[in-house]
Amino acid sequence: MQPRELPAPGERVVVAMSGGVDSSVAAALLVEAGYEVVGISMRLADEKERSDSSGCCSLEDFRDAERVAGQLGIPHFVFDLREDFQREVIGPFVNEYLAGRTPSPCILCNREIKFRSLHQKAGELGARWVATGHYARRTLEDGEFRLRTGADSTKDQSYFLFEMGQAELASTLFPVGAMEKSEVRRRALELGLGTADKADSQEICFVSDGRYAEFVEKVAPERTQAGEIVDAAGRVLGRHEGIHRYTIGQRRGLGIAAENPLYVSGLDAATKQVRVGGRQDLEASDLALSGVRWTSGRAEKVGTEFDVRIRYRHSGARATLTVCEGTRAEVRFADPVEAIAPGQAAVFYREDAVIGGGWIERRPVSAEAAVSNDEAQDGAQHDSTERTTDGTTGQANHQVTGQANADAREKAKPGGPTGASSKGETPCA
Amino acid sequence: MSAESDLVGGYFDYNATAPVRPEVVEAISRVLSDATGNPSSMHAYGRRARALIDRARHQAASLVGAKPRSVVFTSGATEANALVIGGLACAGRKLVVSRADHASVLANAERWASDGFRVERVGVDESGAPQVDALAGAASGSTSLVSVAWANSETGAVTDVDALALALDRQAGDLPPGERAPGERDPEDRDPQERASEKRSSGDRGPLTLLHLDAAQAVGRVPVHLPSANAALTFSGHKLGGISGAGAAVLGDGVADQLKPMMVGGSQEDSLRAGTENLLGIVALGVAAETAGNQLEAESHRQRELRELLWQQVSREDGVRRISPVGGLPNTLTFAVRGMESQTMIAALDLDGFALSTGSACAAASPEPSHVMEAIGLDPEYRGGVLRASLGFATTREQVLGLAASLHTVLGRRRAA
Repeated sequence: MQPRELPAPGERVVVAMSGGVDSSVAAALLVEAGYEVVGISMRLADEKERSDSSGCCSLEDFRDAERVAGQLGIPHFVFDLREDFQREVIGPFVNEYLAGRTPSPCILCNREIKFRSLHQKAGELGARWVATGHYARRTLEDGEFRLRTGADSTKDQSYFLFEMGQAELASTLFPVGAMEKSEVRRRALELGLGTADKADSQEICFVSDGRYAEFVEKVAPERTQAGEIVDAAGRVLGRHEGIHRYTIGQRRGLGIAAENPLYVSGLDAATKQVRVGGRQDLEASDLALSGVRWTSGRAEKVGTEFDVRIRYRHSGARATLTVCEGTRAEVRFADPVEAIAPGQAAVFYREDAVIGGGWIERRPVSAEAAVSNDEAQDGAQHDSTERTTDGTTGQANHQVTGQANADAREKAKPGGPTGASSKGETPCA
Repeated sequence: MSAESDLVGGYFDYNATAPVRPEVVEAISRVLSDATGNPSSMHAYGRRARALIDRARHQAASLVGAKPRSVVFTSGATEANALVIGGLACAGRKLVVSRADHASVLANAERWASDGFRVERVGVDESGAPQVDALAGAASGSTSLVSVAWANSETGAVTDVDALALALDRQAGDLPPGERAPGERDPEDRDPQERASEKRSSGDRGPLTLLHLDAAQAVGRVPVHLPSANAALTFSGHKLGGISGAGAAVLGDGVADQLKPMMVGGSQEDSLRAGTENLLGIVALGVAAETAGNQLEAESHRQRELRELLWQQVSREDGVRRISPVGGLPNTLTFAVRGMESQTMIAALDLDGFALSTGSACAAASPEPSHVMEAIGLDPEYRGGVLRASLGFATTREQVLGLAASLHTVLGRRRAA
């Protein structure tokens, strides 16, 4: 079947409405485009667990969404997906922290809730299209769907969407992805949408005030345990109240006086230890990934280069694919990166297009790339020599923020020749 | 595509509320344009208002075969429930309810529990009707108020009220089980008020058991009456086709004597319910009651046929189970679907212009299976997919067939198991 870039006029499109300005304008644009639009809000967490309004998904937000839907003349429903969300997002979130990892719940939410549960609901409502207010672009080029960064680089959310493959992209629209945030707000005002000057949601939607540690303690008190803070040699330097309170690269909250600044360099759920070291101990050049997905559905060849973002607010660092086996992969960075946090997602970019990504595992034991034994799939034609070697790695002064709550700042180094490995031309199956 | 304004056309949620009857619209329009005063005033304006209320009181009483002076107007069925339960709550009295009771009844029980008002819940049978023997058993040996729904709003199951009243009388020691007093006529033939006043004078009685009947879903659909003087029944105006904001508590003599008013500050309604009367709402309730009463037999017959027509169509689908008993409310068809959530089906049907619900309106916002569905032992695979179609006086055969067709399309979107 021919892939279609857009719905036909009058075709039914479901739009996820959070009550915020982005999804409100997304809905308005879809109505303007002449589709039959149905607004859906999803109740994901218990409102009473949130004492503040971090800007998303309270009952008041749903009323805002309903009001906007009324202004646009479209039906609006609130679906209760708390059970799905608990199972697919909150559960894993808590488990990850307890395992000494730093989770990325928004990616799971996108994958499981927005692009599985919501798509299923849309189908049950007779709609073949789903739209969201994400700042990302989706294009159809040469018969293939591409996921690109949003036009507004300060708001780009493509990182959280890396799990989308061809099937998901085929039926998803991002109406505001090509707009700047300021433009979106302007459209909201023009359209008289009540949510034009609503504050953006900044935090994870189910935890108030960024208090992740307290959340984990409340949900799983019996599984949080105190333990030792140790250095690389295993010497005990202090105590901590639970490894879930820390993330790699974190500097604050250690309570240890030392000559040189100490950073969290490792978290061990088995021994309940927090390992600390100097800044240099945070550097690594190799990254091991599981659950690797490729946007096009075809894996890149070992030896290919692309940019890798290891956190949401990471502008990306040039790396070479060194291992590719099924859904496992390893990359080697041209220059060491700091504070690689297991549990986070590493997303691969080629210029402004997401080409895939995976989930960060603990550092690989061997720094040498292993050659894949699996046979190549036909059709991998990516040419690594056309890559530039500067401009996409370090930029000065970018801040590491976001979910990891880390103190570490990334070293900015100009990119150099990548010295791509010529081993293993075989792409993974 | 649905026409958002065409609400009454595909409307199958009469158990949530009914459209306002044309007769009611006419009657209250006249009230709006006539000059009426405060019903408590001495002058002609007051008299005019009082006359309207008096007429409504007769109409409401007539629907349930009671005396007009037994009728107390309130702001709705919820307030009427609160009046009866709260008004009879006192230390040492026990409230006996069934697990399928409406949340407002249970909430009232909780409200008074701290004052020494105990609550006991008994089970329901597989159609959702409370078990009469269990209720009577729970009530025995103590001063009790048994509160039951005449008809269950989610399943349409109808309680055998006369059997219950009889069982309670026997438990209270007024009658030995199975026997009648010498010369006593069949209880159904006797005026319940007479019987009660006779007993009161006989002296040797067990603990008093009062009976509250939440008749909100039953009035206008099945014949409803006070089964004894120790009973009270409550209902709302809007479900009959009146307007929201008015309801009634009909009090047997044995109840009226003991009732503490919940709203004080005026002498309205014999000081049982203070506050300037909602004239429009009360007039509406009266006219709706009269109209519904006149049509009851014909409408219940017509609606039952439409209900069965709908079931005949729906039952052709795979993975559907009927929940409403055939002997239940003539207008209610509740069924469960495997493979799709209620909230999704309701949204999908809404997009086609058909309005259904899953149970009480409060439950509609959540996919949590209702406690009633658990209480009746519905298969877990089906519990998340309960739909309730409740018809009424404006429902037509075309609408029923349209709903069936839409449902067929929606269920066709279920994933292959």
